[in-house]
Amino acid sequence: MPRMPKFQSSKPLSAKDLLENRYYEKYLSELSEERDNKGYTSKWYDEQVVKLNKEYLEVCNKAMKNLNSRISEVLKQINSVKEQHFSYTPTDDEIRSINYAKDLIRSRLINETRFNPHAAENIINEFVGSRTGASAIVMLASDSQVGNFITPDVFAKAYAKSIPPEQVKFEMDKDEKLNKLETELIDLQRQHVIFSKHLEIAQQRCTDDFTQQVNDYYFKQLPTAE
Amino acid sequence: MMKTPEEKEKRRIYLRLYQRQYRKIQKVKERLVAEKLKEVDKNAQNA
Repeated sequence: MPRMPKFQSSKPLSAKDLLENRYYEKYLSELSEERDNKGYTSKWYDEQVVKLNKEYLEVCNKAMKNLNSRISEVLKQINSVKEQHFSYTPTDDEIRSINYAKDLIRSRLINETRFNPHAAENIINEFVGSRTGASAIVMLASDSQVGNFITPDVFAKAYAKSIPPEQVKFEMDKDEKLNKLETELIDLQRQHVIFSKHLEIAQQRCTDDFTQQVNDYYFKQLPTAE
Repeated sequence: MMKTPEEKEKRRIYLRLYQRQYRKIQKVKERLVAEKLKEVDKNAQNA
């Protein structure tokens, strides 16, 4: 049964809790206060500190295990969010409209630029403002006859306009989720770095106690023959 | 028609939210366009 009240709780303490509240130092000062108030010997105090060190190490190990599992859980969540991709199936009406716009733009580009090469810009500007027109222009970028009229700038503009609002919404939600998870991960990793050192110190305390105990059980110096 | 200070404040908040949302949308669109252009470049190189 753990001696310290906080260590008795069924819910394991988190690394953050342990780092922020400094329970070890608190309980250590409680022990020395108890020793002074009740008149216990320093032997009693040392024994209690050994017990406390053991309990604290157990609590720290549990917290570290939980921290590691939370980190792997968050990493898994980040990967699963990254793997989500938007899929959109246009309706028959939309496909019909885009195809109509595509044919119209193509025929206008071919016929009107025959005598006036600068007409292409006007025709493209006329259609790039609407989502259907922009989608048609994006599709025409790979067209063998009129593809050369679609410059990279026009393509970028048309592609930006052709993105469905549902996709923008999806990407915004995805960014928000990722941002939240990555912020949590950074915080957890920072905690992990600090808590590793904390755990190392707790382990060192127990090792020191053990060494001390061993030294107490055996002769410090072997008796000489004199 | 004159607007009350409360209405003006509401409008100001609405505009700020609208601008924030607009900037977010533009940012997402810019990213998607950049990704698409990269993909197009890659395809052109492979072709």
